[in-house]
Amino acid sequence: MRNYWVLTKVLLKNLNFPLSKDILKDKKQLRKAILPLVLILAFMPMMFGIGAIVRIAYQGLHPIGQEGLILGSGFSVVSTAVFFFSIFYVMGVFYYSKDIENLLPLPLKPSEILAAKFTVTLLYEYATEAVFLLPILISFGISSSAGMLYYLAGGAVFLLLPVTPLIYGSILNMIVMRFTNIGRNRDRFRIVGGIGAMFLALGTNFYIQRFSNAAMTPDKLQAMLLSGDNSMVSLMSGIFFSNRFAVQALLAGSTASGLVYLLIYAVITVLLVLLFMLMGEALYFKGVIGISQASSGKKKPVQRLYEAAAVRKPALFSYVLKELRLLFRTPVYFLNCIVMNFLWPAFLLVPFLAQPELQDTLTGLGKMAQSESGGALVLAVAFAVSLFVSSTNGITASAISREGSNLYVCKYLPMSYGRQLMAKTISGILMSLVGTLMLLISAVWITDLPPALLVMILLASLTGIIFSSLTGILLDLRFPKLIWDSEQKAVKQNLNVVLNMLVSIGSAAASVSGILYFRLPLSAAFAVVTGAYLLMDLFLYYLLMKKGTRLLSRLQG
Amino acid sequence: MIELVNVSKSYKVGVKAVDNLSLAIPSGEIVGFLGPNGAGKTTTIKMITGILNPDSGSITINGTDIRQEPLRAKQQFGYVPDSPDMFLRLKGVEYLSFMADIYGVPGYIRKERSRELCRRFEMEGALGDAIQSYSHGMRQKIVLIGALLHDPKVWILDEPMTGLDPRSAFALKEMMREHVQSGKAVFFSTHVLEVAEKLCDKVAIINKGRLQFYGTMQDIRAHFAENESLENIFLEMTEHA
Repeated sequence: MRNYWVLTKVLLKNLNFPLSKDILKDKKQLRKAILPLVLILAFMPMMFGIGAIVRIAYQGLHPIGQEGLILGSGFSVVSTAVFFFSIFYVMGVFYYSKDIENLLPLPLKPSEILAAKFTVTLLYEYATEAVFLLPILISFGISSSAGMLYYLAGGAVFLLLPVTPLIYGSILNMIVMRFTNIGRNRDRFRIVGGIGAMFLALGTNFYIQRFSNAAMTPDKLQAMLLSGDNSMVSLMSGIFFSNRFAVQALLAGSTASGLVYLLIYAVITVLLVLLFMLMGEALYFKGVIGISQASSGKKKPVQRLYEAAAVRKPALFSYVLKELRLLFRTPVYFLNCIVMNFLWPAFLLVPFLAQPELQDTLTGLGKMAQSESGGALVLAVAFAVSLFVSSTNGITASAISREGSNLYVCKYLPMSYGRQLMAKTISGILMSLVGTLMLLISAVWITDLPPALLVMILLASLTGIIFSSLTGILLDLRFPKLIWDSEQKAVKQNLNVVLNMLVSIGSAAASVSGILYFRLPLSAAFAVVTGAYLLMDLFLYYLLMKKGTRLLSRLQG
Repeated sequence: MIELVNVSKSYKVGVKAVDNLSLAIPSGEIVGFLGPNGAGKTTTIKMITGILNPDSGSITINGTDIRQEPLRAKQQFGYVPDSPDMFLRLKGVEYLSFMADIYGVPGYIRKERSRELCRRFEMEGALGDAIQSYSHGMRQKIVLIGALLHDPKVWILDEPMTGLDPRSAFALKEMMREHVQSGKAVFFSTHVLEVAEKLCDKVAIINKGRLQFYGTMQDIRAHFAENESLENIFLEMTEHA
């Protein structure tokens, strides 16, 4: 236990939280602290939006006694989201972080290292959870004019809720890592394995829910709905089965049964933690030892290697190639910056494959796209989605931060800062383009969009992708995070990535509402969007070459 | 040839990491750069290579000012930093290819040179592997090879001997000699006084950012008692500063 506390404290200190004691004394510290504040403000509208939806849903569901569904589905969504992110977090923090090599030689038990790392990860999950769950809990409390006990129980649920999905993610990772610690290319093998396992788990969850719901006949469902008393909550099954106790605890209000439910919920969570520790003792070290060991491939004859090195490529091309190679080969970067681009189509396709009924809706969409105004709407939405997808990979928004303590290498290479920044931007644009293309291909697969519209979407998206790539690198030049001891921190704990996502979401929302407000026909919408973003791209490029290069020359790695 | 004129740099207000340093490293000579930890050696080298900007003073490499024409100046030298932990996820051959592309080395030359350098440093067997799988010394060697591929006129090496096995260290010393014999310049920092004593035409000793001494080994001995070792001289010089 003592080891756990000591280790957790050290790991937390390493996070470089900007909010330290002498924050007001130091201007630099103060500037660092402003960024998170800006983020909190930026999330405010979304949180209020969630709150408003909860209030409206409450007004509709309370009269029939099914308001518990709000909490049930809210918890379900949050659990699923935490589980999804935990796959990435856990792989980065438990396995691919640099401190592992320093921790392994220390006389620590696997469960002690795991528990400390789990705690740190959990704190991060709370931050994500706060954006979604707090508005649900608070708005529900206000709508039901709940008493003090509700809020106390709500606090407890808030603290306990992400534990279960995070444990699921950890156990899944530990199993995948344990049994893939073999062979060449294991890094990529493991990542693909981990993500595959995640989809399997989510698919299972989906299946269980469908199966249990299918067992209900419409009559039974109707009877259940009418009986009130929040009976529908029991339909919330699947892998996050214990959530229903949390819902009951909150619904029970000040009665003693609320406390009992909360206790049941806490006990299940604690049991899961114990299971996680036990499994960790057995699995963790077998998966993590040798993680940084590089494997060498089949030996090519030396002569062939010299031949390969002798092919002269343009410097800019070579630089882009270097960026992409590092992104693909560094597991943490591969997970966060590359895999993301390939995952979006999966999110788009899974619901349609699982629910064939949706197919009709899509055929309707294809018809709608034929009309001028409908086409404009499809274009606007597709443009917004690709802008968003481009910002989520964070390639340019972490391009400078990823250099870390090796930033100085950029300084002595005989290549102008402008060209180096361009090469970094191009690598981001290329991968975002891959993401958008994947989305378009899957869209073509499930709907029948007219080819002309597809071309327009692609061209408009390209201007949007360039826009978000340029804002990303400018942000990262302005607030680079160069001091880190684990690659995870350069991308995942880099606020520039989140900030750039917000910039992209904001400008995507503005573009869509502009098209809708002025009721632009397709051709006009295309011309306006592409033209406007092209102009902005040119301006941002100018800014990058003028101000960006100056920022880079001032940075001292 | 490298020329520093009245170069100063401070990280903290009032504390000069490098204080009004003037130094000329002529072509055809190996110059060793000595000084205790934190004396300003790496800061000086970083300013010469354009990694840091000096607060005042000017630095030219073969007559090209590193701040006025950075790209032309950077083409003139090959630089090996004190930590070789870079581009770890690239294979050795990919790193060499990258460096050759950035420095614009023509195809036929790079094949010849990479073969020659890899042979001398015994790196041929490791070229196809990721740099991450290399030992410290091997990383040092691959970075060195990458820095020398474009046959730079000036070599700037920060602690190049650290981690090299005796055979590679010998090869490097031999190459430094050949390099200056063809009329080019080598400037390197080191802690190993014997290396400096045996290899260098001149040594520059720096302490607390100030140049304590710059001259040949004979000059040093003329200054101090004839049979005193460089170690004693070094200790004496850096103590009283």
